[in-house]
Amino acid sequence: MSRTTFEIDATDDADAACLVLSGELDLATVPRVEQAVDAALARDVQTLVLDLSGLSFVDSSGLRLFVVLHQRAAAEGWGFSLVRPQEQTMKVFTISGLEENLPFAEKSSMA
Amino acid sequence: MEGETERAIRDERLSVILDALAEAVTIRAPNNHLVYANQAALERLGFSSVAELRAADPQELMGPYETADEHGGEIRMEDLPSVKLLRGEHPEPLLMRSVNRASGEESWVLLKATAVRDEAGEIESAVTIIADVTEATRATQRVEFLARIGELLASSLDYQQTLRNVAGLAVPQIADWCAVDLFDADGQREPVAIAHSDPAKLQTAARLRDYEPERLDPDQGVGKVRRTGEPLLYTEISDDLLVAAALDEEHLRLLREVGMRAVLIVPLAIGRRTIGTLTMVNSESGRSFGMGDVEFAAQIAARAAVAVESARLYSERSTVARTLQSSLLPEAIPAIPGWEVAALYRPAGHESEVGGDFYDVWDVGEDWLMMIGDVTGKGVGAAAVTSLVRYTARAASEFDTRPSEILARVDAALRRRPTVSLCTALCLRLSREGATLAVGGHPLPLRIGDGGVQEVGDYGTLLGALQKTRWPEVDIALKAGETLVAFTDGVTDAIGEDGERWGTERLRESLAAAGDVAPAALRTRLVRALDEFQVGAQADDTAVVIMRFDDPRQARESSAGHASVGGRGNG
Repeated sequence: MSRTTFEIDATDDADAACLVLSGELDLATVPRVEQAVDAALARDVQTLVLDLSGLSFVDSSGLRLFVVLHQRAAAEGWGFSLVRPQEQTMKVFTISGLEENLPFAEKSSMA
Repeated sequence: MEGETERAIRDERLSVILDALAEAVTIRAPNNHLVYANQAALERLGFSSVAELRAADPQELMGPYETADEHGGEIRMEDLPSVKLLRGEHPEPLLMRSVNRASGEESWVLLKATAVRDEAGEIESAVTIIADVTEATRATQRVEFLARIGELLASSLDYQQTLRNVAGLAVPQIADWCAVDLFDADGQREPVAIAHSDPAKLQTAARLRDYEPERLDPDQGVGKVRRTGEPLLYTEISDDLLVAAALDEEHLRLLREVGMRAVLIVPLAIGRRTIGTLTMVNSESGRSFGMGDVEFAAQIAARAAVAVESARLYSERSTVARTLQSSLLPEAIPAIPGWEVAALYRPAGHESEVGGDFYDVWDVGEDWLMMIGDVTGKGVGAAAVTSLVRYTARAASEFDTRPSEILARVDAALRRRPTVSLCTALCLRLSREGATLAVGGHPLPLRIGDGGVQEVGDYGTLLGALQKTRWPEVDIALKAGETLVAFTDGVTDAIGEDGERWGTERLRESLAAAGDVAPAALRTRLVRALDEFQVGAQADDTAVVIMRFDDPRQARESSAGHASVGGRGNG
């Protein structure tokens, strides 16, 4: 169980689901994101946006989640993009080579 | 003197009514003598007529019974509600346990006394109604006992200790002795617990064990219960039976010393398999066992059996996990010329799960390769991936010993798996001249040396799934006495108070504070620093490999010379 707080806020419109994640994403909190994603996809949305700007920490299971979702989006034909986290949290994406492999977008371009 | 009460009692009609009651009713005069008892009370006290009762010494009336209050305390005559009432007190009803000395039958009665006053308001006598509440009391006790057993059994996975606690709880409330035996794979009994409220008696029990035959007799006692899976109740244990069972004089003496009056053995069963027995013996209390006790003991045994089985399964799982885990790590770090190496591996809190961290050190001709990594996920699935990574790296090194190439091969092998299998890893080639490093999505190693504690190397791509990949290879210059520390994120992600992570900064400080010490000593300090910081159970696996570069010339001169290397920076 994570000792830190983690929250998911859903801000959906008709064909895009946006999940705003905040707090620490780790082994304990990854399942909650998986559930929220499944719930969003069950409503037949065209695009899923994960807003990582509020994340203060991401561990390896969190990184795996993004890789899996990226591959799944390609296979199932829905749109997937990520809003960059703060610099401190972005570092783990940079050093693992995920920055250049995942669909990061600036927040403004998503509107 | 004859009061109103007695006159009334002598009224035939009232007497007939009182005799028809199931409850015992007695009347006690102010001189504490019983002056009346209805039919039920006479039977209970063992008198044939009221006249006989009146002639008896009130102190002797309890004679046929061993009595105690609900906590096992002695009950004296002055504790009886009727006697208290006559003393002018206002007594609460008294719950009394009594065991018939002759029959061993236990019963619970509730004594309620009411004062009968004369016209002036003085107490003329005390009427006691004695209700048999045996069934209700036992039912309550059993429910409470089972609840406590349930808590005990759920409280720990150390089933041996738990069974000892259960046995301890059963005495003296349920029985005078309580023992639990389990059967091993060969059907041999393995005594797990035996309890008696008197420790001296336990020694007798231990000596009795020595007389037990090597193999259980399938036709009696524990052996029979194991064979039939049915409870076994011996209500009458005569001295003849002991004489017949005794192997020699000393044995007979011990058997007599225990003074068994009744024995109840119930199976600990999982489905149709009897994994053990619960034995209850009544001796000095004089109690016997009834069918209610058999049912009750069976309920305790059923709960205990489930607890034992879960604990055994769990411990098997832990053993499998430990075996699998150790197969994923090198048995020992080989001696590397020019290097001194120490490694640390600590799986996360859950003993029954295989972690995803690993490290390996192996030789490739002149040089050596060291790999440390973290496979995402846990359990047998992660173990399979770890195994794949480790053996792919070893196989790849047969053809090419460049760290970047090793990582590329591991990446390719992971991609061929049907499910997304990610792994962070760092590969170092150690030679007499220094080290070469490639990193795949893994934290950079630290170098402890003249420049303090600094990250070395360059980041590369996480292994297993990504399209754009790069694993830049970096040569690391090292002076003699300088140390490289490679670690997994379990170290830096360790959570302390306020949910704060240990972080790279604290790791660096801790390494810097350790000063110039050998790898094994550094490992010890690191473990201590982590333990001091960490709160609660360790959440993630932790692996660390510490490598000190020794002066190659000195290493050549002395094979055991690792510790004799002089101060660093002299190369």
